[in-house]
Amino acid sequence: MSLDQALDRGTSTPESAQAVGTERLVGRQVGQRLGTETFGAFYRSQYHAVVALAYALTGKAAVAEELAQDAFLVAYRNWGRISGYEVPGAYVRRVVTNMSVSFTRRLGAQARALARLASRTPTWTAPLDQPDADFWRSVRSLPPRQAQVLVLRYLEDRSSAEIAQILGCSEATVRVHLHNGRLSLASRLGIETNERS
Amino acid sequence: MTDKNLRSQLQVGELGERASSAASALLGKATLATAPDLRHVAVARRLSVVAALASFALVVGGIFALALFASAALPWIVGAVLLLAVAGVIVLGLHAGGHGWFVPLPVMVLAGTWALVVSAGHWTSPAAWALAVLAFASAFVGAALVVPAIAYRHAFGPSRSSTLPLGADGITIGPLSPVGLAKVNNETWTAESVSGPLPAGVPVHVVKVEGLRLLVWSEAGNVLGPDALGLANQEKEER
Repeated sequence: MSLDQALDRGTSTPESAQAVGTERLVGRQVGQRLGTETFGAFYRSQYHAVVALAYALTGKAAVAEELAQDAFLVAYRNWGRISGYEVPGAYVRRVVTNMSVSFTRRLGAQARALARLASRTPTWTAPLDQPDADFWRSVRSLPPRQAQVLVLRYLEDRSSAEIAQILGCSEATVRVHLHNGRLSLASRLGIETNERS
Repeated sequence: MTDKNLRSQLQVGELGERASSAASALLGKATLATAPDLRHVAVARRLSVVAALASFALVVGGIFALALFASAALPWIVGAVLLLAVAGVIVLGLHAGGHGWFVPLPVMVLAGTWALVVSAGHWTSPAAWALAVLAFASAFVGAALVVPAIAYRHAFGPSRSSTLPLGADGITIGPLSPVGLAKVNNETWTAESVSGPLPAGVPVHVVKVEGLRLLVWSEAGNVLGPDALGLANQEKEER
């Protein structure tokens, strides 16, 4: 199946995809019923959630868009395999989280994003309010694995089992990263917690 | 600690509230991103890879062809291309501003050394080729360092044609006592408060632009209303 066919045979409309994209649990809800749907529907329904994930990990809106598109292209190339997964969205999220910490991937995405900005092609910019921007900046300042775990938890409200599935590690590892990451984050934001280190 | 307990701990408290607010804000903003037609993205990616490979092949093929058929012209051509590279990096370095003028220095030194070696009659020596390759590489690295900064400034820097921020809202980024710094329209300005001393982080409103200094008014100041704007005296004079 060509990419054209894959996209044309999508069943969801952009409006419905956008509506779903505003929900906190978009990735999981959509992902669980995707086994029989096409790549086009999958792409349209997951795009905004994946862009948000990439933005939380990179802090740059244009780069986040490029990384999300890269991840969906990878997903398309492997669609025959991952369409049979119980949660295909987890695959895209794993790709995007890995790309976000890869220096060369980020550099490539940054170059493309700059070329797009220089050519004045309209793009998404995300001027978050100062407290929200500070929060995500503090998350990004954590070690990469802790940041990935916290972003998946806070942004998508995922359980430790789901985060472990996405990142390809054990649940115990996820819980340790969550605990340590939360303590570090609270310290950086100047917030007191009841947890002990 | 079970996953359920951990999740409940994560969702409560100040940190949980901050996280929830930040997540909602980010997801709300992300819905503004336009999902591009992935067909176009795929084609653009392929085209850029093909264009890069074709350019590389053209350069390598050109050098080989010259080496075979016009070897006498080769040093002149290499020299001309090096000269262009040096000129290009100088222009980019100066255009970048700041410490950008450092960028052309290594290229100039390497290209100059190459010119000395070639003028001594050793243009086919490994040292000459190594110098030429190093000069090209440093020009490439210099451009790679500088071009993103220029592109970023071009895309996000203050526009020269932008109008003065009269009437715009902003926020103080340091205490105004009564002079300090404020951020208005994503630009940092020297600001003078007409509402008395102001702490950092309070919203301000630009009431006048005096050269490169903004006169700002804020509800958070201790001089409010007509007094702050000097209107009270004006009214008295009119009476």
